[in-house]
Amino acid sequence: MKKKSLFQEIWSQKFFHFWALLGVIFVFVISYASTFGLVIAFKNYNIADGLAGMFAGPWVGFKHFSDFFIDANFVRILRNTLVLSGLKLLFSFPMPVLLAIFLTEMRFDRLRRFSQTVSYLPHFVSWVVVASIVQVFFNSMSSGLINSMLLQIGAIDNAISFLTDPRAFWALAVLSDAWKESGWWAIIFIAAIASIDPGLYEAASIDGASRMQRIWHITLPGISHSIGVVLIISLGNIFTGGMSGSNFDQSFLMGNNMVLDASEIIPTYVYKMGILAGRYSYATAIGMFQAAISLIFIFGANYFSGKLQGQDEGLLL
Amino acid sequence: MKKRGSLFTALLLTAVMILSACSGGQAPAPAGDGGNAGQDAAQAQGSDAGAAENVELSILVNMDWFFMDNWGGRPVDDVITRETGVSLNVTRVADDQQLPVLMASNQLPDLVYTDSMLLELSNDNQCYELGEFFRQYAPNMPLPNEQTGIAKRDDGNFYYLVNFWKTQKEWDDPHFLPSVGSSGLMYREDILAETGMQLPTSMDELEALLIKVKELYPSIVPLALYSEGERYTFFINQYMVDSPSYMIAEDNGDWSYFAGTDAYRDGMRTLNRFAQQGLLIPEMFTLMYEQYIQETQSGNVFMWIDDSSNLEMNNNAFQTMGLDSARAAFMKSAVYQEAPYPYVDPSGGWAGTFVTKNNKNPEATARFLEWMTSDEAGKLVGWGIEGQHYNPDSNGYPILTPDVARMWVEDYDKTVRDTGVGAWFFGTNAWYESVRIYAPEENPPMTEYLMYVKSNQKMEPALATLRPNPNTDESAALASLNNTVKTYYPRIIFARDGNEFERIMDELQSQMATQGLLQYNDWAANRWTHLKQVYGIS
Repeated sequence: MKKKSLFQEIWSQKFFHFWALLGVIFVFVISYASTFGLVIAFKNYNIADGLAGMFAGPWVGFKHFSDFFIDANFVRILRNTLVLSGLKLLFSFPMPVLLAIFLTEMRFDRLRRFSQTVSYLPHFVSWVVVASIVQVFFNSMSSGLINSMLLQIGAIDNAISFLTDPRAFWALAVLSDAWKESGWWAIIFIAAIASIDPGLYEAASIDGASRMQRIWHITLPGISHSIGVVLIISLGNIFTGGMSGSNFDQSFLMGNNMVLDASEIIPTYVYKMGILAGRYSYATAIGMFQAAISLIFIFGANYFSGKLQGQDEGLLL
Repeated sequence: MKKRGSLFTALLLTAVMILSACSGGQAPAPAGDGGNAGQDAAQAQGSDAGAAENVELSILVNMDWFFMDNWGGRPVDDVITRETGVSLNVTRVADDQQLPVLMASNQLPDLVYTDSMLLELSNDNQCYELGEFFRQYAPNMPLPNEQTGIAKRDDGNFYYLVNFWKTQKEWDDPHFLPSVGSSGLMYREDILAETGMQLPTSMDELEALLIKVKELYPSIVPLALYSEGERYTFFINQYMVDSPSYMIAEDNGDWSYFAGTDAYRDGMRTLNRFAQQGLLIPEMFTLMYEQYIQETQSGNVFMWIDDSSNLEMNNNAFQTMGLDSARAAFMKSAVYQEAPYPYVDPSGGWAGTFVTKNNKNPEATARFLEWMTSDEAGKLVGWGIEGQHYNPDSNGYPILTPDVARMWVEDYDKTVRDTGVGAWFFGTNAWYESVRIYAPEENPPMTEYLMYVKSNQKMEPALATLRPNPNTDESAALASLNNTVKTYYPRIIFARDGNEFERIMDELQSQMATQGLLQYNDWAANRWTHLKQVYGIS
């Protein structure tokens, strides 16, 4: 039988290739072609020149990058970004795994379903609403629910300044992020747990393994690949807030002038410098710096995840 | 059958993707019902089609707080359309990003009405140079130097028609009052009466009054400051630094960025002392604008910063809350009487109208703007329709009809939205609205307060042009300085003690030094020297 040429091969699958091509075009336009705009990080872009300004503006090399590195706010916003994301990674990341295990271990099916539904509903609440809820719960004026309650029962003498203390901002951000997103991300791990062979659990039970031992020796190894993939995604998004990518929304909506010292992060600084102050080239350079660091994180996480799984290469690439 | 189903699904998906791609490529959707700016421009072109009447021009109102997002159906709008043959397709921006996006993508509509990015828009690529534009399309249109001078760039060109400009003649008119949006310190009259104290005439007296209020009413916030917008700059200008503008202040004979002056340090030290005594509450600095207003109208605050037009609205809010005895008033005693430099009205207007290069009908646009800057239009947009909203007295000043006068007092914004009066100030002289506000019988508190403000101000038009050009080192320095100072503002106020206060102030000074403070000061001093020569200021 005569072998088909490449063209014939493609033509015979033209319907599928058409759809694949649409996807390639979409990715190219959205993810690659638009990145040409990053060129203004190396130029003095003038918005008065419109799109042509990307070509017409004078080259300034790495001036905007070096300006950022000596910016008085550089250390503070880099610290805030890393600490906030690091705390989320430390506390918010394990929550969906624990929740998934907790839910799958529940004996009552109805209660399990109800709990799962309730746990992922906050994912659909916008950060604007969450910020308002946080304000209502934690403000230290007469309308603050938590402070009112603590004062009523005599647990405190003076209201606690949850919303005006920079140290409290990180805690509130991590708590609200975990509350909002744990249920949603738990879905992935519940699906991973569901794919584990039930025979393993039965065999372990016959051998006398306790529930904790089954979780430790079967469930966790069984979902370790999923945990690794989610970890890589989280590290790739570390500057934007890990899994949920909530850093900008949180800092913008829950941050205020009193806690700016803790809430100002790279994405909000990009917004201030770019949109509010009109320093578009400078803001683009800062954004590019953030992207470059994120890329290093994602490659690093991929490599180490692979190593932890006993592979020579990364999990994803 | 299955294949048909797949085909149908495929076609549906394609349609969705194409539609998504199209919508994603457009500029952000406007908040109003005017539709997309690019579409607006196309509509303007289509609807005009060579006709001299009933031209529709698209306009972007770059003020997300603006009273309305549409045109027509209001008495003033309809008269303008009748007189000019122009109706507007209004798009009010939803956020700060919309105008920059439209500029960068060259999708500006026919007109832009904006209170920000005035210098960024002042360029030949995107907007008409109006001197040349009106010479060509409306050669008889008067363009007073007092108006064009505010908008002129160093090369003598100007690209926007500024509104609320004024001359010394108008300023000297006894009926002429400062802007209705003038900020002031508002206080609860009933609580002041309870303290048995007089209005303060110095910061020390103000402190004593606030302490007394705190003693009598422990649950009430003695003083509520705000760290955004005009409420932020007002307090700094009026009570802290000898500053003609918040960007520049006189400091031992030299010109300096305000936060670098000794006066700023002293003012912040006073506020820190207030905070340590619980006269200022940190939570007030966490509130968004609407929340701040809500809090001040709740009756839980003794003294706060507010617009002059909000006085009666606050009193109505108190009534609604059941606080029958509560009355708001403006503090008219000069706390900062010893200031060597009086608070200055820079006379720069508050918004400009641009004619963009995308404008599809320059002739109709010129005709429209020429009429909008006429005396007839000034009376219409400033006072309303004669006989319906006002009647002129023997000296030509408007006497508001009783119903309309009451509407203005009860709800200023709603009156603008219902009538169209007080909205469309395209190049309008400040005098028209100003003399309408002058209502010593209908609205004595606001009139008296604004007369007080005026008596403490001097007019300095040159200050309106004391601003760095975009994309310059000094504009970058100013942006960084403003951001840093705002970041530090509440931190300094709420420093735990004197030592921490001095440490944070020193930290601020060193941060500003790395952000081009000296460079900005040099630029400001040179620029001011130049402006003084141009404007003949001694």
